[in-house]
Amino acid sequence: MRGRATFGVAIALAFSLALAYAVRYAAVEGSELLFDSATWILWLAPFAGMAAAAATKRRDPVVEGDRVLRHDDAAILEHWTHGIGTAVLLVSGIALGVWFVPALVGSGEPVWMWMNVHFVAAALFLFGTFYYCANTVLALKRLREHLPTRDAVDFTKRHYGLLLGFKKFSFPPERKYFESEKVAYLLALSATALIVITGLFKVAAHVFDLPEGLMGAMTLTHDVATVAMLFFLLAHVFFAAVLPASWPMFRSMFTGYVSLDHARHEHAGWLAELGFQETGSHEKSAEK
Amino acid sequence: MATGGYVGKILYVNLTDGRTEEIPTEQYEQWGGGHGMASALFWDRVADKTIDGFHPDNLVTLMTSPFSGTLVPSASGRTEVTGIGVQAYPIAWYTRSNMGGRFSGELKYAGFDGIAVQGRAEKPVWINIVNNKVTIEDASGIWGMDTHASQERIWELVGGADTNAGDWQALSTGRDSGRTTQRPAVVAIGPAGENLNRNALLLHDAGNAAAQGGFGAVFGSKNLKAISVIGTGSVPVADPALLMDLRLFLQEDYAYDVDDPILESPVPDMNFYGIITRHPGASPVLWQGAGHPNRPQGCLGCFRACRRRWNNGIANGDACAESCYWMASTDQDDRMAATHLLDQMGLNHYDVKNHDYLVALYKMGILGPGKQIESNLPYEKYDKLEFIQAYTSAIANREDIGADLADGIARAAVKWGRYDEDTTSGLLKLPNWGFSEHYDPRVEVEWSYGSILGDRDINEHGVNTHVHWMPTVQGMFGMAPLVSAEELVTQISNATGLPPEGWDYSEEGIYADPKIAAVAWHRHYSRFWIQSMSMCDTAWPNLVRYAGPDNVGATPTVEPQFYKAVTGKDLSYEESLELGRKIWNLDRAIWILQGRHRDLEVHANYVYEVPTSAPYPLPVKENGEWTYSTCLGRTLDREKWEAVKTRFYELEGWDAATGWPTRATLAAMGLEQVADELAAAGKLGAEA
Amino acid sequence: MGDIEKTVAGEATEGGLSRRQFITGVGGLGVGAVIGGLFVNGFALADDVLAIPASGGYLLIDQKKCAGCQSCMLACSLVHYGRENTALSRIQVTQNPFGKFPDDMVLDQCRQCPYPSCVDACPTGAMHADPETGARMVDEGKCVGCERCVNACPFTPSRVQWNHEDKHAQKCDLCLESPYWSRDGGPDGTRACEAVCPMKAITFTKEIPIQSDAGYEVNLRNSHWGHLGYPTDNAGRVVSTGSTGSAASASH
Repeated sequence: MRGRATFGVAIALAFSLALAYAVRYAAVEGSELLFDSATWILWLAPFAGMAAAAATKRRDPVVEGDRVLRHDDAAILEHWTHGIGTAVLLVSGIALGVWFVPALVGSGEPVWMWMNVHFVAAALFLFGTFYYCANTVLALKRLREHLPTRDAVDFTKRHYGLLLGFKKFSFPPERKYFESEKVAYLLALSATALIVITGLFKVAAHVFDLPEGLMGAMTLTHDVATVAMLFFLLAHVFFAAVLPASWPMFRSMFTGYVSLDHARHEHAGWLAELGFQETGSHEKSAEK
Repeated sequence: MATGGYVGKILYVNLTDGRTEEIPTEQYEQWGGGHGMASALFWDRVADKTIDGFHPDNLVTLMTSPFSGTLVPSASGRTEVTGIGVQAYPIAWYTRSNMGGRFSGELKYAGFDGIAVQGRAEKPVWINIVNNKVTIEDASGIWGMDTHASQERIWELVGGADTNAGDWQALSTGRDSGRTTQRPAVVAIGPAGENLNRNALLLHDAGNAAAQGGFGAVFGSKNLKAISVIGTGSVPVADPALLMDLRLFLQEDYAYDVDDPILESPVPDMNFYGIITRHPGASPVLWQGAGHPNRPQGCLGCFRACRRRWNNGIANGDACAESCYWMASTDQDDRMAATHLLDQMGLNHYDVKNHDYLVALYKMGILGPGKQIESNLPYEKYDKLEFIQAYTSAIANREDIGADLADGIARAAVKWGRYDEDTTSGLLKLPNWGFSEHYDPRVEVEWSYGSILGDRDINEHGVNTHVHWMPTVQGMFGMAPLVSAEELVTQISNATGLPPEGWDYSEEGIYADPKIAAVAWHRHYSRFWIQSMSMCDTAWPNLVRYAGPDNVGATPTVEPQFYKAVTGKDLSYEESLELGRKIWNLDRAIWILQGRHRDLEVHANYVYEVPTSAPYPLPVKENGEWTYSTCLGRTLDREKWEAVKTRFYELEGWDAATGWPTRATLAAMGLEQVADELAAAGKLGAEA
Repeated sequence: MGDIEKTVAGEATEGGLSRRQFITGVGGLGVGAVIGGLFVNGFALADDVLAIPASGGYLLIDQKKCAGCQSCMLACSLVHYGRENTALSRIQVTQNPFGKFPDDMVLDQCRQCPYPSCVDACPTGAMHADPETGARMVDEGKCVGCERCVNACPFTPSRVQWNHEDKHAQKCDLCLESPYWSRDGGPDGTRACEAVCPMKAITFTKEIPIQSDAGYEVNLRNSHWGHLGYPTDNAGRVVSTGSTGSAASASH
């Protein structure tokens, strides 16, 4: 735990320092945009992410006494790098203005500053996203557990019907991820994929002479995917961090653990998959 | 529904409570634009139409048209101004004025199709429009400034100290808020307006003025010093390629070619001939460039550029009649200085130019120090700059004889007990509603009939340029008219759709039915194309082409083409005249509520009693032959004029006994509720 | 904790590459390539200004002939965007209505610089010189809104504008891309501002004009201009009434 906290603080500090540098550098007379002078960092980041995944040893979820390991260190790292990167990308991107919404900032230095911030956040985001992708490629079950099943409609109806106060519903045996979350994952996955592809094309355009029609399509797609990503992020932050019922899960994104009680109630299906059997009760489920 | 031309909202400002409102233009789109929309707005928002022009409920509008701010030639820069005036005598009718420049374009770029102001501010204010943002500002720092200085000060207030840098200025924070290199377009009053002079005007930039009607005083009565507008928005155009092609076609085929003109003045540096050629900078008709390096100066989007801007910055943009303000001096510099002062004071030269009348009274021993009409101005120095400057300032500041003249020459003459005598003898030529004579009312009747049947001196030169000025100017240079009288009236007939006899100014012709139809046509055409679609009087209608392979004018073909190109709507020439007639009838209803009756529609006595004594060329048909006559020794005949009125009213569908529209006529134009309001006031015309 | 690699289907079979090995390879090679490429720096955008072709032509404006009607500005935005907006015009006329001729007006057209700072400043190649005509213009789809081109223009006001409605930089392209009229633009076609100017104060040349801080000035005022009472000398100081004009006569 201490090691993780130290590591997390170190990365946060590095990120903050990079942002501060990006902001200051924009004010330097005659400075280039970081997208130009440091473009190589954005090509390095994905590969660094992949290399990091290659060197990562994963821990599977497991019950440990009265708590359950939900997210190992790798999961925590990939979530926060991708997430903070996304958040800062969204803020800076919206400040700069998408094609259908005016820029919030004034011309000149403010624009260059936010473009540099966008650059730094993009580096973090690319690292985190490719780290996640490579980790997932290495263990495809981690992809499968994120995808919705045929229980999606039924579980979601029961889960949120109950939350809204309809007592006729019974809480479904949700797995590690709620079915509703897994549906949202599809949005996040497609938005991320589009943003990464179009974003990398836009980065490449700083170096290569790419056709205008292509770049116009890239920027438009980037903007549309950004809006989709924004919706996802807002919903995700609400359901995962703001909703009191989700606070245990929010904590697990730092500690890695949820309590067994929480898992029993919210993730009965997941416990069954883990082969957990209640002592003194007869919860037996087939191993998955 | 239009798909271009309009920007979607009309700004309403109430100065009493400071509230602003955005009226959807769509609600008034059926009225076209400009004057049509203005009259409809007035009808809707002024409950008691009998109020005085100084009353806070008076609604003043500054309206654009769909053509404003676009490339429609000589239709882009003009702004129409309406409201109850304070100038006309004996009743100050609901009236109109307009001004050139760039105010209307800038208003469209800011996102407004027009402004309507009502109420009265407690203290001097000015209205500040920056794109969509409208604020009412304290004008205490600029009240008292002349029209030029107040605009320059407002530029600083709106744009910041670097306004004169000619650089890109952002109108708001944010990269996408829009930038412009232009200065705000400002319309302001001067000391005359602040002092409620009935002939105070609204001035915009250097020499563009909405001068008739006394709107400067109306602004002054509302404590409104100025309106400033600046914008960075776009005006949509339904068919941009067609608009561009039409513009180039018209310019290439109908405009004066400055590098190689087909028809050129016979004498160098002679603006007067520009009345025919319409060459650039022609409108300060008696001023010359020699000794005064200058450039032509044109309103927004104009293809004529009829004004000039001079190397000493004096009398920039001044044109036509105001450049002839003071003809006693032979020194052009002095004459320019006089007109310049007039602009700065914010005074309508068309009334205050009657200093020659005062000098006549002075010479008659009636006016002067210690005389019956007391005045200490230096009349003996009439041809000196010192006189005209003293005179102009006195009027603007209500000093000396300016105290009487602040109410206009007609009311001053009434006060002095001289009105009847002098307008009968013709010493004071005020043919209609207290307005000074513009063109001879005894013979050029489309002008004098149109003026007395309306609210003011019509000031619409489209016919006058051809029937009167062309033969006159040619004659001044010792040349025959460019086309025969028969050819002239044929072309005008083809362009207007009226028989050639409508353009017969003979003793018989001026009372005949074709003439009556021509007068009606003129009212309808002008109300729509000139005053609602903001097409400039110095270029439109384009009835005859003198420099080209034939004499055929561009009217009536191009007006509907431009209308379609900009708005996307189909409007035939006939339909446009119908719309003009509808607007004209709405105005008529307002005047009737104000007290109009056929008995009032009588010119000043001299028109009927004093024969013409100077040659006044006009086409006439005598003994079956068309010629140009000098029209000497002619007056209007009272009885025949009464008969003309009767037949004019019948033609327009008005009650011949009163001159009031009937319900049937109004209903057929969709103006039932206008008929209701007239009926409630007991002023609905009886059905025939 | 287990070695996931062994618990998932599709793991490497004998002789083949495991996924981890593949990812390790790609990641490591990628890192190496990027770092190595830094030293090579061979695929940079050709922003070497010496390689930029000269413009196919230049607008020349006689500032003393201009009447300030702004028809050029209205034409520019109309043919490029199909709407009227002086703030979107690539040619600007600024004037002081109270000013003194000839210092009352300035015409600000793009000078199609032989060494264009705007092209040099653009990070994405959006601002470029058209290979065929040399017109310095913006590939709108590639503009990212940094406005470094706007800042880079050495003239005041900048001859590059930020189009705040369509969100891209823009500048005079000699009407090369002007869809909203029936004439062809470009150096070999017609320019809208030139065609529409009622004073014929704008002309076009394919030869590089003589530079001065005041701009590409030219005297387009012939004797017919002088005949109207305007100065025809370069400085705009002399109004000669001795010029000849054709005697007007009834032409029909």
